[in-house]
Amino acid sequence: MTVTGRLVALVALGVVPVVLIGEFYDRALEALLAWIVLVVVLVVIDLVAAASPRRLGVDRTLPARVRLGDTATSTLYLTNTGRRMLRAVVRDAWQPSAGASTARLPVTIPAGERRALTLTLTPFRRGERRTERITVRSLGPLGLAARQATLTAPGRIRVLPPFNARKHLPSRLARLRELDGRASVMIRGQGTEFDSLREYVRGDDVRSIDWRATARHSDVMVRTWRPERDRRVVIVIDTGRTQAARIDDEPRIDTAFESALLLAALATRAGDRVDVILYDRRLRGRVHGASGPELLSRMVDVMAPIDPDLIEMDWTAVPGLVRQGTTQRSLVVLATAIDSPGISRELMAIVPQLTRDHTVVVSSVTDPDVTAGVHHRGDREEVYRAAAAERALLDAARVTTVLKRFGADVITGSPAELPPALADRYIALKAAGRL
Amino acid sequence: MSIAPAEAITETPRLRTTLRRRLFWIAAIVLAILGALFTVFSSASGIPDGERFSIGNAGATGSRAVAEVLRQQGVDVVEATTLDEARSAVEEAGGRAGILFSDASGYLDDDGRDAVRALAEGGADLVLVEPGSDELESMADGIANAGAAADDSTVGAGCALPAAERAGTISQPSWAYRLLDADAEATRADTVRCFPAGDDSYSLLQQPAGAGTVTVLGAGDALTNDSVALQGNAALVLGLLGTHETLVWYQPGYEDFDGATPTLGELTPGWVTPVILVLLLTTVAAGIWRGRRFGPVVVENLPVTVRASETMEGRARLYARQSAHGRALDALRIGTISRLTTALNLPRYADVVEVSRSVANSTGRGVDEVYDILVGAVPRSERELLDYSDRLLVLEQQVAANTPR
Repeated sequence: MTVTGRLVALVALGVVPVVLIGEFYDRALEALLAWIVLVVVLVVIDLVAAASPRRLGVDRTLPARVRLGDTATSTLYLTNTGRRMLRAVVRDAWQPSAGASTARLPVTIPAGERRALTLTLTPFRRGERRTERITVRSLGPLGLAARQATLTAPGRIRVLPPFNARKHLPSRLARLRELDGRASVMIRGQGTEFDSLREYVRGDDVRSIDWRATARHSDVMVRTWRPERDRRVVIVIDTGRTQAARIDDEPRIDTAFESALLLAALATRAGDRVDVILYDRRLRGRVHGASGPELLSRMVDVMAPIDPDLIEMDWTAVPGLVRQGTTQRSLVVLATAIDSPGISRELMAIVPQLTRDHTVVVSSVTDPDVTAGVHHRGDREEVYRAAAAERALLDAARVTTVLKRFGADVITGSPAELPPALADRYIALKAAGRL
Repeated sequence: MSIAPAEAITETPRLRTTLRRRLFWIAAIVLAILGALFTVFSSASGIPDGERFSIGNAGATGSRAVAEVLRQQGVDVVEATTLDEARSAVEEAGGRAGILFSDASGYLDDDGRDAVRALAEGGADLVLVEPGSDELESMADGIANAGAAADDSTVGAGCALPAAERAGTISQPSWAYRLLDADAEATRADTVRCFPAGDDSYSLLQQPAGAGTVTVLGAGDALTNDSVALQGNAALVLGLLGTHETLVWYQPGYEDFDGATPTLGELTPGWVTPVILVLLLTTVAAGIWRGRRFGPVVVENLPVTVRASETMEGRARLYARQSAHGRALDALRIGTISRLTTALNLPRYADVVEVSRSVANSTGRGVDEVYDILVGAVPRSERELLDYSDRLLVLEQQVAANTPR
């Protein structure tokens, strides 16, 4: 049970009879006692007359998924199974980061009827947000006291990665279509795979005229080319401890997710097959054999609940994982952090195994704080800071040099730049026929 | 009517369950409160009574022994602390009662004292225990204080008063009294004088007053628990006080005091304390209102927030604390050289001499000077570190300005 502000006011109002009666008859104490008895009686009446908060049927409707930053509507259906009118305040106990619009919902339900309580959720953290119970505070007719009970009513909503990088998708797709020769530009498509022969039209690149075919036909024939299709892209996302660090108020792993989503969206439109592996010391998640819109929805679903574990990434298992997925030559993207030779030793050790069979791209987020720190040299502190920043850049550069020597491609960029940079590299590789 | 849906599972235990679970503690608290109440009420009075001649005082200066013995002898001892109480007790006994009067603090005013004497004149026997001069003046006729009694351990009765005769001797009295002057001696020949204390003064004087008597008793110690058993003290006081069925033991209290300045307590209206109680209760109610939790606390695992640049900042602080200017300048130089190499389109493996030469070509500075900035000079202080750091920046800017993009 609990009391309301009205009861507090009622108790305070006891001053009036105490002063009035006490002034004349010196009976203030008796007046006080009488007032207390009155208040207690009223509270008891209120409690007895309040509807039971336990006699409730609870139902929820809730979207299963919401993209981070978007708003979902959660509806709670309460059925009053008791015999009295329920006047109550209901608290739906969502986790704080679910971003519920309000914590307390007033409701009045006549006996035997059902009411819907709606609240909006604007989660501000990725992952699984849940609520386990609701608490019902049933007020009595006088509004002095209330009966309170907590009911089990589990609900959960999966908050998907925001995929803000999707704004880069249209421009990249346009370039992909250019590549494909499907766009109405009169240059030779830069594809490398023979597609078909067709009649020459004015404006075609004369270099693509197939003279042998022209000899067989009565018309001038040109070859058309298209980019390679049905290649494999394997994205390996490191979920180890280095991915937990925040750069520009975004954990590295979120940037890795953004890059992976943009690349996958692009690759699946280009007709390539995409595998995603999330790994640290165990397989945290895997998307295999999906394509088109299903691929992206499965990817965000797998990624949503994954947070970096505070353990070291085990790179030695990665070549095995890649091999499990495909035997043909693929583009392997390793989304990780390139910090210093000490931390990246294992990565450097396995890259040669991968580059032997595959095209390898290592993507890493660079810290804009560090790159900016290099040029701020106002006072003593800043000079030392610049020196430390130079040192950090040098460490990263040493790893990059080693990786490049082993035949891997390295892409770095700030959290905002990395996803489009990776997409551009993919398009460049595709154009060059290196997949 | 539709089928009623199943009720949700309630987590909050019912009141009955809660009570059962906490039965032990509830019982323990109730027992403790009962025990405390019992202890308070079983000890005769909450506050110990330390007043002299009080019948509730069992200590050395009290008179509980005398009162108890009188009660055993069938005397109805009535304690009175106000004039009204004393008067009504005397009236209840039909006017014929013993009155013991002791007012060491002088609470009673003249009118009050006259009223007490009027009781004696109405037929009561009034015993004044160690009266002061004010009391003597208004309650006894022609008797005055004669100061402290002479220093004798025992005093003989020396009079015909039955109680005094039975006592024979009493222990040393505190005060002596005498008749005021010769005139009085003549007019108050009916005053019985006992226990002479020398110099024509006595410790016990009794004179008739209307239908009753007034007795002045200087030997107050005879009443106390400490001394009542000495000599004939007991016989004297029992004889003096046990003359009637009822004895009113009147010690004026604070209520009889009709003082000029009322205290703060008297000035405050009666409702002040109850209003404070109301406010206290309001505070408690407000505490419950605001403090009651709306269901259990929700638990959520939060991510650790670590900025990636923390390692860089930490390293910078380490450099600064150690004043590692040499190491810091090295780091700055390596960064600058690698940027210059890129800017001047030199091969990655170009050595510093080559870079210096190219930079000198590009900027028009001397090779030695450039080499000095890039590698040669060793900083000896932090001032030089700052100096070289600035020169490195200038060099980079110049190269950037002179290199066509």
